[in-house]
Amino acid sequence: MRRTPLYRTAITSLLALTLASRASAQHLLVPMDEGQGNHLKAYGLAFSALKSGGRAEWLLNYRGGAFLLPDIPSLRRQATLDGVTVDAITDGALATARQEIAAGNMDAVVLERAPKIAIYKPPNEPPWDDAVSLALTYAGIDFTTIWDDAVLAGDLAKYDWVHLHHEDFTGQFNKLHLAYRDTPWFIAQVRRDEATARTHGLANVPALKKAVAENIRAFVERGGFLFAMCGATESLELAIAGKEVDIAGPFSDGSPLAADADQRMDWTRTLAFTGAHVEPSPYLSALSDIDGHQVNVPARRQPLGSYALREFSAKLDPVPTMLVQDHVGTLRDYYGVTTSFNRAVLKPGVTVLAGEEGTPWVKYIHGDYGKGSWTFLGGHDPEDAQHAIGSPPTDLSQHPNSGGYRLILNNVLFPAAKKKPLKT
Amino acid sequence: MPSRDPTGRLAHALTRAIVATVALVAGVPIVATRAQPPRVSEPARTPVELLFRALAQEDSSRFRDAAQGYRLALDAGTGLDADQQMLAMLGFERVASELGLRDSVLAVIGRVLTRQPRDATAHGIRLRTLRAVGADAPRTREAMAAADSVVRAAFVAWCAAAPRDPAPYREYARMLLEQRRTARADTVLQQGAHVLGGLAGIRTERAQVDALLGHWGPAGREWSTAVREGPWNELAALFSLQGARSAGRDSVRAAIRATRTQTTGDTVVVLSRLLARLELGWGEARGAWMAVESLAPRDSVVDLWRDVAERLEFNESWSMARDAWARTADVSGRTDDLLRLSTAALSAGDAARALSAATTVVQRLQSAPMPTNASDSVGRRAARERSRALPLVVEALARLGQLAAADSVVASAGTLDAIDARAVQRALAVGWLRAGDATRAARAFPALEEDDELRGWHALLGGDLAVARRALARAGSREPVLVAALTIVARTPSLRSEAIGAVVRALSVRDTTAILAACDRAAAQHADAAPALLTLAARTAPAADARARWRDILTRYPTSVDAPEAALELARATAREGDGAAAIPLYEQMILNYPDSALVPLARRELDGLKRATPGPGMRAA
Repeated sequence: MRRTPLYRTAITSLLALTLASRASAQHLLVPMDEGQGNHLKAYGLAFSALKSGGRAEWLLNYRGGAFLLPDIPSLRRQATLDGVTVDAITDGALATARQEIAAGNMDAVVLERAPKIAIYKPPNEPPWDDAVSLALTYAGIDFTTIWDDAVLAGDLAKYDWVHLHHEDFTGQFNKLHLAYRDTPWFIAQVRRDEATARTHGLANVPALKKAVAENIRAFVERGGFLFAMCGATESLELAIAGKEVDIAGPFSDGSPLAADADQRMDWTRTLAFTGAHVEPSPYLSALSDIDGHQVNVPARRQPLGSYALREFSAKLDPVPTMLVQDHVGTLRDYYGVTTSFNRAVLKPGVTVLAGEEGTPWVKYIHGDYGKGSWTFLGGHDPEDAQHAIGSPPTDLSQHPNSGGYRLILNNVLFPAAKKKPLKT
Repeated sequence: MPSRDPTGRLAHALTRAIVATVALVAGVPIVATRAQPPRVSEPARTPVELLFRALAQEDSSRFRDAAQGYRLALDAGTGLDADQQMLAMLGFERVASELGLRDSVLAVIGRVLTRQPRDATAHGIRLRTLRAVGADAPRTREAMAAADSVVRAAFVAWCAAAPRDPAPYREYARMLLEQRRTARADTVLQQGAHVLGGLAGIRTERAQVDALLGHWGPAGREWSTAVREGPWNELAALFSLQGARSAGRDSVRAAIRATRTQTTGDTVVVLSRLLARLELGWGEARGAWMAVESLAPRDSVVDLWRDVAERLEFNESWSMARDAWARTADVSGRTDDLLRLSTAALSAGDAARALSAATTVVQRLQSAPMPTNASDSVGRRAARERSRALPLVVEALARLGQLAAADSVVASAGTLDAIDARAVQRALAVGWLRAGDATRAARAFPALEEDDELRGWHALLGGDLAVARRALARAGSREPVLVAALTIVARTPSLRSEAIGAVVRALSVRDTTAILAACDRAAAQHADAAPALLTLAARTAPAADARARWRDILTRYPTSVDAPEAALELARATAREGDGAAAIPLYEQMILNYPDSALVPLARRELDGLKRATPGPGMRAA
């Protein structure tokens, strides 16, 4: 018979004592204001509550967008392990909080179930990080990675929420051949995508990526939630609008892009943008004029500033309110292949969630499409303003209170919200 | 209303001083003018008289009169030489700005430009004034865009008037940089380089923009070229390149080294100094020394080595400081350099090198002819050097365990003044205390009772905890043996303990086996200090033994202040053995059981890393 070591018995008794002394409340309030010890892992805690079948509430604009979770030992344990600040509150205290919420620009949104999450990500690790993978891994939120084969096989239907990051859906590899054509990882990336295109009977990589983009568009139209960052935002829209147009340079498909590409783009099918100008030069590392910052074109590059989150009515516009929950109102900007979105090319009806005052660009946008919705956030990594190819991934344990990463995690929980009729 | 605050007056006075200096260099007889101040009540007749009267009026804060004088002098059209005209224009810009008469500046300078369309000073003033006028405009996008286009038009006009002059590109780029519009400054400089056929005249601005854009390779190249062309750019380059992120630093290093290889003379030293100071700023002590180490020795190079060595000392990079002082002393042969070498080597833990350097000094002093008059400067210096060298010799010998040799150095030291004698004796006493010999320590240092640190140490070795507590509380020692001993002494009310004395003796001589045995014995006698003693033993024990010791502490003393450390170390030891799956619950227990411990953030961080490295639920591929 195996004997329990004495030290384990001692520790178990100590733990039981500790928990017993605290086990008198009915709810755990997870404050998300400046008093929170680890904002990012707090989202993981809320996700765990939903995953275990529990009910959670998101108290919009209350203490920085606090979560209300059931007071159960497993959640207390996880909160302690993760350094998440929780306040155990009684029904009486909760009633007081609800009165405060009812009186101000606040609201309580019920979170029903843990969404099924997929991240569109290449099977081999490229030499750059993916902010969403980093955020979800750090927060302890489960996700599945999918790639072209799965998308073309119709697997998107299995998920509630799909994230895209750095991919170039125009099939031009973000024009990285200009600087990296001889590097092993770039050669492998090109070969992999060409092989995938052949497997699916498609002529080249631009055709492959356009087919993938079309599946993603259809996923949103059918009711899916799409969250895209960095270059995926701009290139997805170009691929959708340019479905019938050659918008890829000769490096990708052997032919120059169509001379009348701008005129032939079909912007009626896109989610966010309209009337953008496709960059015709194969030697300029830009896809279009959607991006306001043009970081990879030295003569056009704009300096980074700060972007401010907009305020919405929590009771009338709960969706945008959810997406901007944060303990800081202004955040430092950061570059990406696509850093921002020019206001001039936004479709009417697009909701601007954050932008930089006095500039012609915005940072964070949202909208509905068909039965689904989408959110685009410009830039690559909120905690590495100039993340370069080859830079090490950001260590989020150094940024547990990152306001920028909170925006990403807002999007993860947003599909968990119980739908209620919008008043606007 | 124009500003009349004292700060403004001070700025004005400073500006006047600068102008006076410029004027002096330019040969303008401003000093002579001051010697015979113009009588401002008399009407001035010539433009030169108008100018100097305006300068005097400005000096006495009569800005309106001064503005009138400058304007009349400039509008006269002739009568002022180039330097005087420059003085008049700058003076008018200053006082008009003070009076808020920017439109007048534009009008007067416009007339100057009509006569002399290539005048760089006039164009510069116009650009600055237009910018200031724009800054006063409403902060709407339309108004700001309109103001921008006016300034840009002035820049374009300047370029057209002086097509081969770098000044317009330089001034406009600087202005944009001040406004933090780096991208636009970049465009202007690219245009300038194209038109001018190179970067001559705009190189430092180009370098600054590259640095602001994070193009560290080009920034390093341009700055090092700028330093080569003008060594006075070194500080500006240092300030600009210091901000390079770690990923960009190699390209800065490569650029400076490349420029250095194409350079000769003292500029090589300047570029090396730039690189060394950058490395120091980046916290790269080794890089700093390597940047200058291989330079061929000459006076300026030895001075540079000395400078780098001192900065390394200041940063407490003792190993590198030792190497730098060693090279410096090898070449210079100066006694002071040898003594600095010995001190740095001792701080770096290199007692042998310290001994060698200090001994060289002592021998050199012994072999030198004795000064005939001990009160002369040579004699005084020799005595000073000897009094610096002897404690170093004794301390180095003591650290090397050569206490008998140290004893004989002290004995043969001859007459030393009281302070030097005390330093030498104290160094020897520390050596004996490190050897665990309290008796000889006391004999070596008669003033031991007056030295709290050594008195406490001495008392600990004898097990006198009461005296040790009192003395060490005052001493604030950072000596590792005493810090460890104090944590134990603080945990027991006992006044005397031979067992704890044995622990301190074992710690002093750094005998691991003796420390473990002494701690175990003392723990058995002092239940209150037992967790601290067992923790000290566990920290000291070899890895194979330590794990069992940490577990024992957790079992026997789960609520002691030492338990969180034991729990964390147990988890770490398990992780180090490669059993991540077993270590994860140990980390979790540590965090759950001791959530208020200061070690918890560290445990959380290590647990996160372990979870990432250990396969489990989380990310999965479809």
